Amino acid sequence: MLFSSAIFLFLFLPFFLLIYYLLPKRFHNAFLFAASLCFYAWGEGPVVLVLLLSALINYIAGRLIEQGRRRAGLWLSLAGSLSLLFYYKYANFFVDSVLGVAKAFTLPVPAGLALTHIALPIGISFYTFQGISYTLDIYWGRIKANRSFLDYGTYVAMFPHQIAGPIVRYADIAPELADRTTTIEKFGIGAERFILGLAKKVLLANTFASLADTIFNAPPDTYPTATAWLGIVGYSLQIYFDFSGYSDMAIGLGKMVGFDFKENFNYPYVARSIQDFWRRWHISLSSWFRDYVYIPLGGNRASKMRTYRNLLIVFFVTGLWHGASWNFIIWGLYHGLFLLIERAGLGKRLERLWPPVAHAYTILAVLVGWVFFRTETLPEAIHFLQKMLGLGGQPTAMMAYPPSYFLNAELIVSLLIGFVLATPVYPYFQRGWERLVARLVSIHILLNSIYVVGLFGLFVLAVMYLAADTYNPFIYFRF
Amino acid sequence: MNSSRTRLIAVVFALVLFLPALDQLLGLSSRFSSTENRQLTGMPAVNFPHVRSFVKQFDQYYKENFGWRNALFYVYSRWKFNILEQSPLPEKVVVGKNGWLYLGNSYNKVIDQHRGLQPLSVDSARRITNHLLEIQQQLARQGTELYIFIAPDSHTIYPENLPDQLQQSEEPSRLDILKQAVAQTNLHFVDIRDTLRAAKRNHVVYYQTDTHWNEYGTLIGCASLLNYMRHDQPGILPVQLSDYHIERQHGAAGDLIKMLTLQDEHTDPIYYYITPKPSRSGHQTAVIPNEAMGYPSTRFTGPGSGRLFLVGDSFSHGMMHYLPGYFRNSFFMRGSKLDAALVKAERPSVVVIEVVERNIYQLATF
Repeated sequence: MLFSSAIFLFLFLPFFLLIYYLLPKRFHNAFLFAASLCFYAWGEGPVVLVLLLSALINYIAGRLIEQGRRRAGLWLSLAGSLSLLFYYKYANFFVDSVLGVAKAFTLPVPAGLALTHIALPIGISFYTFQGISYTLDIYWGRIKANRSFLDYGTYVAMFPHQIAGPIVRYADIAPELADRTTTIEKFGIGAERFILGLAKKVLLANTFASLADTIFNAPPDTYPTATAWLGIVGYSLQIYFDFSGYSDMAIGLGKMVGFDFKENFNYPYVARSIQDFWRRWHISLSSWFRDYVYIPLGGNRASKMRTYRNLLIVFFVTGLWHGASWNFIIWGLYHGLFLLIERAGLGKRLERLWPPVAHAYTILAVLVGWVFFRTETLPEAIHFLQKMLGLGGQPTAMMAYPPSYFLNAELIVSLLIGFVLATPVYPYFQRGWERLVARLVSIHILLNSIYVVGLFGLFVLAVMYLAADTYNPFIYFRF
Repeated sequence: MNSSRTRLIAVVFALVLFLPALDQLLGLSSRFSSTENRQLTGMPAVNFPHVRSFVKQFDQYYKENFGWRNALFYVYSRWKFNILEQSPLPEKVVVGKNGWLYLGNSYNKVIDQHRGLQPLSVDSARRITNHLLEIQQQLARQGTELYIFIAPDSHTIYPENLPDQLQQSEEPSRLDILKQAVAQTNLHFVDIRDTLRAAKRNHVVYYQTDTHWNEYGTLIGCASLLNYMRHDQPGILPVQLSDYHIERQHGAAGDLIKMLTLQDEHTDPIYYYITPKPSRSGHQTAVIPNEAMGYPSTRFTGPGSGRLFLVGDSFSHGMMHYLPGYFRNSFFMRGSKLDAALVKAERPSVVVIEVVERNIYQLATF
C-alpha cells in the first residue's frame, strides 16, 4: 500500500487514526503494530513473515547481548538479518554474476546453480538496517534491549517508515515507544507535513517520472543531446521529490501518532561538494553507514590509504544496498571516488572557489551519477552518457523526441517549481509568513485561513491527480 | 509554531480524510457520472483461502469507486484542459489547435503512426496484400467482387491542427506503403484521402471533438466508394450531391470530449443534417443482434441493383445512411473478420471491407 494511493488515504489512514485516537494509550503500540502488519501484508502477503522473522531475530539477539552472551547475540543478529537480506535481495544477482563470469572464462558451472524466482520483500533493506543498528547499539552499550517484543516489533514494523524509510534508529525513538504524547497541534503539524510530502510526490515527482521514463525508455537514436539532458534533469528532480516527499509523509504520519522522526533530506541539490551532498541526501542512510560501517572499519583515524579504502568499502556497500545490480555498485563507487578525491585535496579547493562553481561541479557530478542509478545495464548508461556528451551520432531516424515534444506549460511550470523547491525557499517562506502573522495580529485569522486554504488546495490538487490516474475511458463500451 | 493554525489543519485534515467514505455511504457526488464506457469493478467477495486475490480485486474496486473520484476527475479535467490547455488524458486524447481533438496513442499508437515512428514494413504490407488476394479469390469463386475501403484518420485529413510537436512525418505513411504493395495486384483498394482533402475546402469533413468523420465526410466517402465501384458495377447509379438535402446545425459533443468529461462545455461547431431524396433512400428491414461484436447487424432494401455486404468498424456506421440507396439489398455488420459462411448465405454481388487507417494491420487477419 502506497501513501499516495486512494486506498491508503481514504480507507486505511482515516480508520487507523480514528481507532488509534479512540483507544486508551496502553493499547497504542499493540494497535500500531497490528495495523502495520496489515498494511504490509495487504501489499506483500505472506512475505510479512520475513519482516516478523527479522524482527524476532534481532529482538532475541538484543536480549542475548543484554544477558551477557554478547558475541552470540551479535552474530545471531548479523548472520540472521544479513542472510535474509542476501537471500531475498542478492541471491539471484550473485548467481547471475557467477554464471556470467563462468561463461566469460568458459569455466564449469556447479550443477544446480540457476536463477529462481524470489519475491523481494519490500522495505527489507530498511528493516534489516534498523535491526542491525538496534543490536549494535546494545552491544556497544548505548541503549538497553527492549523486554517487550510488542514494543520492539512496533518499532520495526510501524507503517510510517516501513517501506521507504527513513531508517529510524531505535535509540532515537525508544522514549516515544515507551511513552509518547499525541496532541492536536502535533497532529496538525504532522498533517501539514504529510500534505506537503504528498504534493511533492504526486504533483512533482510523478510529472518528472513521466518525462524521465519516456526519455530513458526511448532508443538513443530517437532523441538529441538536449533531450538527454532534459531526461537526466527530470530524473534528478523525480528521485529527489519522490524520496523526500515520501520521507515527509513518513515524518508527518509519525507525528500524527506521536513520534518525532529525524529529517532525511536537507536540500541536497544546494550542496557545494559531494561530501556536502552526502550530508544532505538520505541522511538516515549515510549516517547509518558512517556509524555502523565506516567508523567500525577505522574511519579516518588511521593512514590516508586506510581512510580511502574505508570510503570505497562504504560506498561500494551503499551502492549495493540500493539494489542488486552492477549499475548501483558503479554508482556507489563513483560517489566514493569523488569523496576520495575531495578528501585528497579537492575539497579544500572547492571551499575557496566561488560558490556557484563548486555548486556546478557538484550538480554535474551528481547528474552523471544518476545515469548509472537510473539505467538498468552498463551499456545503457554508457549510451546515455554518450548522448549527453553529444557523441554516438545525432538521431538518424525521424526524431521522435526533440525537447519541444516534452516542454508544455505544465512541465515548464513543474520544472521551475522543482528548481525553486529544491532550494531552501519554503522554510524562508514559512518564517516570513510567521513574521507577517505576528505583525498583523488584527487579521491573523484571515492569514491563517489563507494558509490553510492554500494547503488543502494543494491536497485536493494532489488527490485530483490520483483520481485521474484511475480514470480509464474507452471510446466504445468495454464490458 | 502557530497553534491555532495547526489545530485548524488537524481538524480539516481529519474531516477531509473521511469525506470519500461519507460519499460512498451517502452518494454525495452521484451527479458526477463516469464516462468511461466500461463496467467498473464491483465489490469483491472474500473467498477463503484466496485472500490474495481478494486483496487485488478490492484494490482495483477501491481505485475505481472511491468517494468523489468522478468529481475529482471532472475538476482535474477542467484544470488541465481549460487552465493548462493540455489534455487531461494525453494517451487517450490529443488536444490540437483551433478546438480540434485527436485520438491518442493508447489506440494502436495512432499518433506514433502518423509521426512515422511505427512504419509498416514491406513484408507486412506484402503479407496483408497476399491475405486480401486470398479473400478476393474465395469471393470470386462465388461471383462476388471484393472492395477494400480505408477510412482515413482525422490526423491525415486535418494534420494542420495537430500540435506542433506531433506533426506528421514526411515519409510515406503506413497506408502509402500498403497502397504501393496493393498497386501491383488487381485488388480493388479504395483510398479516399485526396477526395476528402479536396472536399474539406468547402465543408468540414470530420468532427472536431470525435474520432470519426462527420455526416458530410461520410457522404463524400460513400460517393467515392460508389464512383469507384461503377467502373465494374455499371448498375450502380452515379452519386450527385443534388440528391441530398444538406442542412448545417450546431453540433453535439463527440466521443473524445466525452472521454474527458467535458461534453457540457465543448461541442462541435457544425453538424450536417443530411437527408437523401426518396429515390436515394434505403429502408431498414431487419436488425440482427450480434453478441460477439456488441453491435447489431442491419439489413436494408433500396432502389438500386445488386447486393451489398459491408463489414467494417465504427466508420461504417454512418455509411448505412447512404449506401443502401444504391443497392437492392444491403447487409451491414461490425467486425474485423469476414465470416465466410455468412457471406455465402447472403450471396452478395459486392463485399466491402471497411477499415479505419490506424487499424490497417487488421487486414492481415481479416
